Amino acid sequence: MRASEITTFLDAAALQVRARTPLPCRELDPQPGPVSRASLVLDLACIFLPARSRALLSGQGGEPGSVEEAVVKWANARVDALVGTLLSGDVRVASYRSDAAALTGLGPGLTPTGDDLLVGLAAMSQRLVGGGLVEARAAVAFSTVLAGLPAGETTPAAQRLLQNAARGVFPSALASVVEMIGNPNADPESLQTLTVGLASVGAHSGADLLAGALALVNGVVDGKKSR
Amino acid sequence: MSTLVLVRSGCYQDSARLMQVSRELAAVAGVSEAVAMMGTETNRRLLAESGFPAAELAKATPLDMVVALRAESPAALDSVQVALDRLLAGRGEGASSGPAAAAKGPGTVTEALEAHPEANLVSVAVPGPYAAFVAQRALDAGRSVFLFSDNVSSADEVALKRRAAGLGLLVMGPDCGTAILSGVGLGFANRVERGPVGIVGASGTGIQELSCLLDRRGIGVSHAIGTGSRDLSEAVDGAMTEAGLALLARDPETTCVLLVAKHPAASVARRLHGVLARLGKPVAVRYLGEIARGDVEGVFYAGSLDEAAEKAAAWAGAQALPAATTTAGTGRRAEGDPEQGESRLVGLFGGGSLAAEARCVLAAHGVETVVPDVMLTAHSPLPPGNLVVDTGDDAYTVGRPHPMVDQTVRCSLIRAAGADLSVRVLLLDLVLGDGAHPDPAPEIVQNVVAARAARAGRPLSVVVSVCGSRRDPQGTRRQEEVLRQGGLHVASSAALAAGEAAALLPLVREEVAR
Repeated sequence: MRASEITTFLDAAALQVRARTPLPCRELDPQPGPVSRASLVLDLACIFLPARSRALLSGQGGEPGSVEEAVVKWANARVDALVGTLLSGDVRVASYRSDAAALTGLGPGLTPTGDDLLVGLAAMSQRLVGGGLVEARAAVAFSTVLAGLPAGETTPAAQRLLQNAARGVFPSALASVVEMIGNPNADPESLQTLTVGLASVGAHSGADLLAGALALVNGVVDGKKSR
Repeated sequence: MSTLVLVRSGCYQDSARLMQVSRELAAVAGVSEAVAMMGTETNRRLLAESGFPAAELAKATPLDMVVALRAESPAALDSVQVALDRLLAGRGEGASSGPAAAAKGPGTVTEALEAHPEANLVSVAVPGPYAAFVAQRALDAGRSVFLFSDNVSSADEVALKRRAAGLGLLVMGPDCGTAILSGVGLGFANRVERGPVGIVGASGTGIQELSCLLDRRGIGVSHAIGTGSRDLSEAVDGAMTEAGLALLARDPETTCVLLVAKHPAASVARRLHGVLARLGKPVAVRYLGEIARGDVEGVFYAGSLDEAAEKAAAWAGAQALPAATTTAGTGRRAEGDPEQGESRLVGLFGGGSLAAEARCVLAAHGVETVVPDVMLTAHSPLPPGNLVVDTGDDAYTVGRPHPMVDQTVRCSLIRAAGADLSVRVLLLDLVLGDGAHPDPAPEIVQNVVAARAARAGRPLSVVVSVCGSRRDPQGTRRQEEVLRQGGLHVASSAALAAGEAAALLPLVREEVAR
């Protein structure tokens, strides 16, 4: 820049490229209240479930032969496997690696669906450790895998989301829902409101995060133990 | 059935945009399937297994957008490519009309510069992993950059600044919180008059404090150029500090210059001293945390931000302020406490530079402080000793706005410090200006009141510095008045507040001893 241009340069209006701020995140409340299997059953019955979450939980969605159908099937199978491993109490990090690696970077979104599912699963596993429904060391093993997933296999935004999840920091909208699910003292209407709020995050990230969390709840309610 | 894979390099898009692209392309006549995804390995594998050409997919990286298309004929695919170009340029049918499109704003540097070709500065505030890429695009287009984003690697910063220096442009940042260019504030900045003092700063709140101290003395700022806090590291070697100083040296409106930075690398400080000595204009330097060195070969090394501002104000022709008016606070004594016990100080800052300044002043008053090596939480006991905490540090801001915007964490720590009966003096800062919390004082007062209420009558002295100008939108005087009415001691600078807090501590200890 020439000296004579300084005033021109400094007088110019700043040009703001649209900011894409990361999702607000936080740790789960260390004392989120009690959790019981009976309350999980009730919550599952009344919770708002977006079509996207329903498709991921059932493994059925998208036009036959479409990429969307493939994403949903692939994701459902891998999440199902991870839920089984978590609920079997497996504390070996290696037991989670291949399924987690198959999910990272999978699907549409700046944070792809597979990464959102992993984060939802991690948040709920931490919550259910509190109620004795998930083995604490198994949840730690799962988090360890998230921290070690290769950075180059997903988008930078998703990589950051996974790294946060590995150290117990989750999108605030997810954390609020997870803390309330299964709590017999929670107000069902508040849970409904929070779930709708979570589902509205991004184009489908919120629904994907919710699906990850509810997959584990389904597993507990169904009494799933291992693959 | 024909298939096509398009890879748009470096075209990162959020989920909503990807979905919009998918839907609009799928609606093109003859297209049976359109999928827009980021080019992660898993997605590439999935698309290959779904019958899309693997060779094209192999070109993509997780930073690229992949559009996979299936159509009844090759002709339909041609029209899709045109539609995609329109969509990505923001000129798609869905993006070109209606109020939502008008409010959307540019999505890329190219779009922004097409809309405002006259602009020669690009302000970048995107997540860190993408920021260097966007800044490079701005430099490619011949524009200087205000890089608000953090989490940019040191290697990227060095590369960006080398390139900028070669092009005669500025890269202010990364993690550049503040700049004031011809009276226009960028990031967090206070509304100060234009005047003769130019500022270069590797410290956002350092620039804010200096500009407000000058404002309190009736002196304005020509330009304040932020550089990012790592500019004076060995790796970056003061590249943009030197460029900023050179600009101010040539600027006819600037008659004297202030430089503020945290802990410069020794080799960089030595090299910059030569630059400063040859600047041709009076220059005062405040290296935060370092002691005063006075005049060295025509360069004035101040011992505090107050001293640096005072020097520049004098060069600009301002009268020195009487000592009594330099401190807005009046309280000098902590309330008495009949009970014995430990008494200590906790500083909870929103501005990192102000925390460093406070530590330096406290040490000069014989109050040694420590920066806790663990993150403080409201649920765990405070570590021992006099503590100074920068709640704007990365550890406290994961997934949260800066404490200058969101005071939640700091307020929870105010209550936690209050609950510790050994804490007798609380030292705070309050940074006002554009970008900051719209009305921070009431929330601070509310939490100090709650903290005091939980102490069963044991007093807690609170000293707060206010970094604000006469024209700041929050109303600096009103904020100060709210704080005073809440029983807080108010000071006009971090250094003065630290001095007051240091003076209070021995008084508290004497009361405790009695």
